[in-house]
Amino acid sequence: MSKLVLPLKESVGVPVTPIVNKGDHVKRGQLIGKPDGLGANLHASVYGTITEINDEAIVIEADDEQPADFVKIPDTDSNLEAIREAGVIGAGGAGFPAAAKYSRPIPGGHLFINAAECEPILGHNVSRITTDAEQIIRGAEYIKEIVQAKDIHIAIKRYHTNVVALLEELTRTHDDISLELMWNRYPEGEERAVLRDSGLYKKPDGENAVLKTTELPYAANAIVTNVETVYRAARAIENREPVMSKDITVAGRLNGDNKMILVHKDVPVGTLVGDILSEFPDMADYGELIMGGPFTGHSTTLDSPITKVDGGIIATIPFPNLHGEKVGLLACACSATPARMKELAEKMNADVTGVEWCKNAVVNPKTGTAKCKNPGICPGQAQTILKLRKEGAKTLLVGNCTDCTNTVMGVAPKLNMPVYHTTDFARRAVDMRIMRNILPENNE
Amino acid sequence: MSISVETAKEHLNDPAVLCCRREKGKLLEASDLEDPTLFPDYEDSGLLELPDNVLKIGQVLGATLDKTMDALLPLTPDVVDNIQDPSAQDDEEDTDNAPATEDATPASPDVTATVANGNVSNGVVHLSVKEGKGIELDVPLAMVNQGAVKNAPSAGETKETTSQQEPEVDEEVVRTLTRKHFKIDKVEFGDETKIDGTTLVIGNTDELCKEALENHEIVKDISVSVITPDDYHKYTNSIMDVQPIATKEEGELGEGVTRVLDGVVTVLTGTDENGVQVGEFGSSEGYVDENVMWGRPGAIDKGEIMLVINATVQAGTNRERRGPRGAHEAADTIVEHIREALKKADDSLVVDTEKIEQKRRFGNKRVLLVKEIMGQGAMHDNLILPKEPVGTLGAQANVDLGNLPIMLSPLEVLDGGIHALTCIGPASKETSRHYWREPLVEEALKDEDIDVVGVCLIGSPQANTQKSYVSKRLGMWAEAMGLDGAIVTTEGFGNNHIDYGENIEAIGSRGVPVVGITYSAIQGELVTGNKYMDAIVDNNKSKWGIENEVLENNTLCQEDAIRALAMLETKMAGGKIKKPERKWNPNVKLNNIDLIEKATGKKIELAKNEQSLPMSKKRKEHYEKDVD
Repeated sequence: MSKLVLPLKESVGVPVTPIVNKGDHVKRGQLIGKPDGLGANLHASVYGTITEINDEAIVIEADDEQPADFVKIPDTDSNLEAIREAGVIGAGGAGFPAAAKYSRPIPGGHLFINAAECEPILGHNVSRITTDAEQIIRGAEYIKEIVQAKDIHIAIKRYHTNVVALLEELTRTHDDISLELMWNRYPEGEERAVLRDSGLYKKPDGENAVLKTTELPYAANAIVTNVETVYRAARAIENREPVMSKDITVAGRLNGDNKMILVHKDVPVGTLVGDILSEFPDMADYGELIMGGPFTGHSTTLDSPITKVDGGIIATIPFPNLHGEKVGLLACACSATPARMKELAEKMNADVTGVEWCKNAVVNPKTGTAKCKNPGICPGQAQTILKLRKEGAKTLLVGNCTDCTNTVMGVAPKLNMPVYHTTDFARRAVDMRIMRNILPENNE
Repeated sequence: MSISVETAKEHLNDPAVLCCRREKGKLLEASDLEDPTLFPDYEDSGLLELPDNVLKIGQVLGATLDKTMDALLPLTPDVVDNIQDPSAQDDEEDTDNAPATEDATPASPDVTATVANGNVSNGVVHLSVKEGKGIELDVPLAMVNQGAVKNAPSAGETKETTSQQEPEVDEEVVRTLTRKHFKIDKVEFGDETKIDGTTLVIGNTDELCKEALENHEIVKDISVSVITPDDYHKYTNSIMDVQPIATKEEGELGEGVTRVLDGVVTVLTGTDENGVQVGEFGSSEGYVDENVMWGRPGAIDKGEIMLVINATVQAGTNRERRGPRGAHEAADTIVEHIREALKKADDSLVVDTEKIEQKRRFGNKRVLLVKEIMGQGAMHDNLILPKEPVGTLGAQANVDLGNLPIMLSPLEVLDGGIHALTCIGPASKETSRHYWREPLVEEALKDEDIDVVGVCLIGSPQANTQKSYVSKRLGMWAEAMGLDGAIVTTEGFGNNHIDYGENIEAIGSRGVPVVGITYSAIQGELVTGNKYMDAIVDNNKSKWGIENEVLENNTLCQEDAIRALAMLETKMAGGKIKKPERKWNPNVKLNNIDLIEKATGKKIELAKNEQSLPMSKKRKEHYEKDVD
């Protein structure tokens, strides 16, 4: 096998302090780093030798022989401790240490298992349900007990009809579990949108409320946790298994012009992108490699490792050359940041004449990221587009959600402004309809 | 951009346009609708076309979308089900708010009361605000830079205050003016000028005219005629001034007793020897019934007899200071004879005695009314404080006074303290009669929640350096007086808006809340602006927002005074002022009036505009040629 790189900081909080030394031989599952504060334990994901420890990562040269067994986590007094020991962190991308999240009880509250997989293309969450639904449901019950929730709600898009049927069948005997069926629109699955649409969080007047951008689901006496996180928690509790691997969707023109979306389950944490793609020697030229989903992912390189929060590797189509076209960027809180959009514009050889956030974006000045006041519900974009045009834009590059993109398409064509969407290149690489005028799904 | 529920309430009468694509069956709410203040931008860019049958926001809130529609499409009856009746909604709201409204009537006292109790001593204002219970005042605002003054709403929400929060107000009558009214229903010419019962007899007109000409060489001819109500379809030259006929019986101007003739007014008209109308920006010559906006404070009331004095001034002096000035003075020598007769009239002929008190309400917010008057020279001048009401003798011209701020008591203003020579656009100039019936002064005097400290007249000089000079003096006055608020008015538009802005800034920059009043609308867009001009009331009444040369059409009326006072009281209480709309939108004013009416429980009569008059040739050919 090959080299694996395990970053010391994979989660929210502090990086781990390595507890191994260069030259040590480690076993799969062996604890190799511990956080000093909020964070998550780091375990070796393969059998191998530590070849380097630097400020950023621990590098392991994997053994050729990789036995199936692993080093189990120590016995613990509680399930919560098991989750902590196993180094489980939010697998949906946020990377918040799961044990820390679950250690704040929500008596009588609602536990949401987020299987909406709101990014297009990504499919590893749903795939995991098809193979491990029972263990996931058991995991949900463990967490429910830990957080003292009253009930469990599994959020999943209704178009996954088979998985929905499977879950309905498996939860038939669970009075405390219900399914929250979602539309295949972006960003259904954003945790505040899930909570809003569940109908369990109300304004005094009875209407569905949406959390403020500064609030966490605790404010609604709820916890939202990703389905893979639940699976990893269940593995920790039942199998005493630390987090050593990650489910990944690999997509793009992976074999000539064949547009493929594949799920690689249990990819060892630390595996390099290049090693995953080396399985596809005939893959077509690509524009860039996205780590994550088309909306919120970032560009990556072949020598970047898979971490506990990564979910996708998407090879986009080659970028069009706009030959210096003047482009205005319309940034969405639920999508690419302006910095990421500028990167895309540069790859398209466009001249960025202006950048505007959607009206509903509440920007965190420290991180440059934003949260949406009301995810997925368009506040109107005409004024912003006019502003971009006034600043010199002839073409738009937008990152908007489904609803806002529809608005953009009601406006930009009337101004004779062509529209690119930040997800176009990923979607085209898998033959998925690009974001433009998106009609509502059939209700049946 | 979609709008909030609050914004939607302020725009119930504006067109409803979807902000975003919405699916069939959607129950329409504020967040589905585009912000009406942005429509001009959208229309300019071709994004939006509003059809005639577009529904109003008040009609679609709560209605259902019958068809999936894209962003920025106007909502029309064919795509909306269950169209709402906004008037019904209004009634409902009234009922909901009834308890609060009753307790809190009128709105303004609450604002002031709360503030006054808010420990004025330490300068901290505490204003309790409770949503839904409070009074919302929507007040218009200036559009700065963009040009047009817009009426944009401001929501000053105030909570009703309990009685112990009422301020201690020490009310004191400073001076009293008594007006004795003499009824005139007939004007005839005779041998001797006298009041004979209800007949005004003007004696020996030829002699009077000859005398008038003798002392005023610049005036080449002068004549006196009478237009009676049944004869209003009569041609006159451009109306330079409308004046009450009044005289002092006792005391100085501004106090004591004044006698005034009801049913007849002096109307001064004129041309130069070449027949050029005396006027600068337009003139109001033509048929009286087509060119006079009846009933404006500064105009003729329908039913009044017009004593028309027509002066012909030396050729070419119609735009020089001496031409119009000579006409006014010559005419005044004729009127002076009537005043003398009025002095002699028997007291038994008095039909009505009116007592106007100037009260100080110490303890209330100290408010100064600032009236910017024209002082550019030529016909743009005003004679201040004559001996007789609206006379000329004894008065000083504000141009000669350097246009510096001069303080008058409110009663001096109402007692004919200003003889107005102003002649900018007929629709927006303030005549002598306007000051006699100045609605802002009248409303402010009546307002029990403020303490009117005085009326400051400040000229609008020609040169910009002089404009700054006088504005700075005004600012220093405001500072010295320790004002809590001020309202700045101006007449006309254009050049004078420069000092209008500077005057507002001079006061506002001293931390004193200011509200401005001016005609602006479309044609009178503000040419300058500053950050203190965030609260402007537009005097426009014309349908198309223009100076259409209909006498007094766009001048300050009671409705404007009420809006300005409501806005000032909101502002003084720390109320919010909303940003203006991009383009002039008459609906905002109506929305504001609605809200003030709701808050105070009083009906505000809106003045009619030129559309109530027969169409004049000028309007037909110049101002409304595209109108069916």
